[in-house]
Amino acid sequence: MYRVARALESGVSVISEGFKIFGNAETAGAVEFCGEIDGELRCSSLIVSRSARITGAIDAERVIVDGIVEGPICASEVMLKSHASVLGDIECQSLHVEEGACLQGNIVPAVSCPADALQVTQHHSATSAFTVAAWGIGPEDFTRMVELTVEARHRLGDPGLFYDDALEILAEAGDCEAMAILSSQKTCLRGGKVILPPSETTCVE
Amino acid sequence: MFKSTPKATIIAEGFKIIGNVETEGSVELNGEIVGELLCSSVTIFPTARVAGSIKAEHVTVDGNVEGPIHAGEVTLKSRARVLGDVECESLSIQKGASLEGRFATASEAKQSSDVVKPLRAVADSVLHGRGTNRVERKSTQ
Repeated sequence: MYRVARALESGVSVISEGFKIFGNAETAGAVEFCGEIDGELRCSSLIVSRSARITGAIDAERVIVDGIVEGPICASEVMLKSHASVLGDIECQSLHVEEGACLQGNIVPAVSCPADALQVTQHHSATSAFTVAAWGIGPEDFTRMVELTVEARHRLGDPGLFYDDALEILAEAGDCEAMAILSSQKTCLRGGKVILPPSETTCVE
Repeated sequence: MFKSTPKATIIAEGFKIIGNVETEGSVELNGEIVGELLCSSVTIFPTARVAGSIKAEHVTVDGNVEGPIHAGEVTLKSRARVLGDVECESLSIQKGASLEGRFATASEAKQSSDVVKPLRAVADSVLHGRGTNRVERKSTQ
């Protein structure tokens, strides 16, 4: 009953494990989501717990993901925790990724957010076991790829980086190793487009 | 931040679901569901509204329901407003509750869905069913 009372006071909805929604849900309040939804979810703050599965778009102010999301996420702040598995693009102003999280999709700056203001941070240094499923590469390769793509983007003067452009630049640079990394991942990259964080990217130790 | 998974789902006021919902657990509804609700037990609070059918073991209504209720046990509390048929094994109606629709015991309904008899309801006020198929009762309290 304490839980009920607290939820009523704060306007927090708690969707428990095994609760299934076949349709859309929206609220101006916060949601702790442990169940399943096959549809869109709109709210202010959202916690997608470990047992949760969301098949559809998420539109919220702040999202913490520790479960499965199959669909795009649009929020100003997004945090992917260790058990997060996201299949879809993330449109945000800031993204925090913890070790173990999987992301298969593009990271794009929110419409309201200038491309160079997008903040992407990792819980550990870039050499930790941070896994991006879309790229399916190890931490060292990932670090290398970030370096290469950021460098390439600077050369292009383009805030976004396209796969083919990156490959061309690497070919010019004669970096076969990096080319191989990119080439091997081509099929995983949706639309062949990679958008990586800008040079302001910080790695939080 | 990630607490142990609660058994009860709590849907706060302002939370609106358009679509069907099902769970093996219980539901505390303060929000709105436009669609079917299938669960073990549900409490519909005064701010809540269900526009669709409800199937559950235990249903407690203190809010608005627009649709049929199929349940083992139904309790209509003082602020309940039900517009729809109620099919259940036992029905309890408190003073102030509003029920506009037919009601029947599940077993009778199965035998003959056309003949709906007044239920041996546990109601603490007089129902105006009188053998008709319609119960309409409104109280100012």
